[in-house]
Amino acid sequence: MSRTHQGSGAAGRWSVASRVLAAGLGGYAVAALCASAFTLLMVRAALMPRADAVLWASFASFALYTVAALWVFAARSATRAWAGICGVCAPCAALLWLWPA
Amino acid sequence: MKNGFRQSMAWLHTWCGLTCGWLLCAIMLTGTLSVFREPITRWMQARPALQEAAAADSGMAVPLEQAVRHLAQQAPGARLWRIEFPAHPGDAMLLIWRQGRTQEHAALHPVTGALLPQPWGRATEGGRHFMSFHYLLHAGMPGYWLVGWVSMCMLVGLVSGVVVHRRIFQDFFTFRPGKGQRSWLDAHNATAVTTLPFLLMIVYTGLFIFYTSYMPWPMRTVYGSEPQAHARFQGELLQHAAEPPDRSRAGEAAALVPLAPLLAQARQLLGQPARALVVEQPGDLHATVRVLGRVDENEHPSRTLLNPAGSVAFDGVSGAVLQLQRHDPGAAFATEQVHGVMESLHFARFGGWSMRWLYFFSGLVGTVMVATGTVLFSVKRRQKSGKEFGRATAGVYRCIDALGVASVAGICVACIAFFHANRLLPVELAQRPQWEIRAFLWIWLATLVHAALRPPRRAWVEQLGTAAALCLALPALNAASTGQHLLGYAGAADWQRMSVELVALGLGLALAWTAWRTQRGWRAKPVAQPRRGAAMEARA
Repeated sequence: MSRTHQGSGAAGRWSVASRVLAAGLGGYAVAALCASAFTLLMVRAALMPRADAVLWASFASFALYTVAALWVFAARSATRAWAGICGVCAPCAALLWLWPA
Repeated sequence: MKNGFRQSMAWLHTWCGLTCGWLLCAIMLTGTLSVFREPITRWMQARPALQEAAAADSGMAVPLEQAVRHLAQQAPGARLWRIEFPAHPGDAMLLIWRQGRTQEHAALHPVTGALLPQPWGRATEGGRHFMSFHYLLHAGMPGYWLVGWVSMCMLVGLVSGVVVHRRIFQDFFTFRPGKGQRSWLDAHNATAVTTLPFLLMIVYTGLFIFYTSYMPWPMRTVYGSEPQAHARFQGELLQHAAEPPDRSRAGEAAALVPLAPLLAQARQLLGQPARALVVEQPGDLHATVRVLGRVDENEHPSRTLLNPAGSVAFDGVSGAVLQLQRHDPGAAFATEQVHGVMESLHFARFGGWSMRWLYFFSGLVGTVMVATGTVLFSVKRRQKSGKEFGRATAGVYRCIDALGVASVAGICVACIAFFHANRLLPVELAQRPQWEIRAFLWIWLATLVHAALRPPRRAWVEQLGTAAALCLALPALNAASTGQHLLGYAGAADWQRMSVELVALGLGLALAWTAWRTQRGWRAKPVAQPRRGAAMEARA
């Protein structure tokens, strides 16, 4: 079952390597950027004290990382997985860059 | 599409579980053992029990005076002196200070204050070894990050495992013993279902405890990335906690106030017995005496998850109270407590011994879950090769087999050998704790070499058998080397040290049974193979 899903030969191997990178590094980037953006929004909107926002965002980030990693392997292709990672990271990064605390 | 999702999760579960399962076994087993790090340390120190020391808690004036005299003689220039009070009847009072880079110890009789023979018991890393291996792998920062990575993989493995074994709760009631691969799968499922909530909790709290290094970005977004940012964040989080009094060295000599009245006052202020007394900058005008309280979880099980010990700081010359930190169980829950609660949850720092036993058994069952998972891979591939690695497949499978043996059976051998090393290394050996750790690591490496050289079945049986023999021989070795034994511990009502040996015996029997089953199961396998292989493929 694994072979049919991941493809075989060199192409399949590259796809696996690409996904492992996307899940490991990309997933971490998703977790870090989303958690940071959430903290920033909470602080900017004065919805909770900033120490609390940091704590809850950090707490949720590991769950986010897990979901991102699972999604990377569920995506139909490695390219799609990278596109999804970038699609989530870009707006968060833009927010953090354009509107820093 | 739905089917595709489950298939990709199955692929992820298999490979993520396999590559991380080896290290996870070691991390989980040592973590499970660290639940009992204090009893293990007590057993390894093997300090003789003192007679007529039961009344130690009453006065303390005489031994404290003796302690200060001894410390003033031996360590006049030390930055701090630490005096630890007996935690159990028959324990000595310990004096600890630093001489250059080495930590020095002395033991006093807690009633008479007489100096006890040196070294008092064995210098040992004790249960701390298992705890530091659990999160550092004795490899410093790379080890720390590797453990973080493996923990994330475990989280991924757990969630993908639930997706793969969607009939997981139905599977829980299915156990087909003695049926080769099916039995391994059933064992994997049953252990996973019983411990799933525990494992999710323990891995998540484990990651979260270290969030300021594993995930510092939300904090940096708001507080900046300069070194003081972390202190500012902590300060805002713990807005109610008092700053420690600033007491830098005055450079002017002054006599230390008598300690016994301070100790009595501290006990009254804290409403707790004292665990230790620390004198900071002894002999200086700015000397500080800090009395640390002890939380006795067994006498007063906490009603909340958060029950830290209190402490009182006194001026070491005038005896005035500088700071009182006391736990207030009635305080409302606040964000500042989140981290403490997560630590309590991870370290089993609540609920007393019954909770520790629950953690211990959950940890063991969780370790078995990971171990059966890694074994399952080899069992499946032995029946039907996946040919994942082209022409190199057979060689890679051979490596996977060896790594599996060393990480499941080998870590058991290394852990129990650590106890044996403690009893076999000479008592006077310099850097004894480091030699114990070296023995642990070298033996673990030796099991890997052994697993690589021997055929898989022989390697499994031999290593499991070795671990079992070492476990079962532990009480005898203890009696031969220190003269202490189970009956003696029972007679002195020393349940902690007795339990260490009883658990070793119990685990020894379990390992022996596993070795025997492995030996027998392997022989029976070829007869029953084809049918089951087909059923398995259909299911996974």
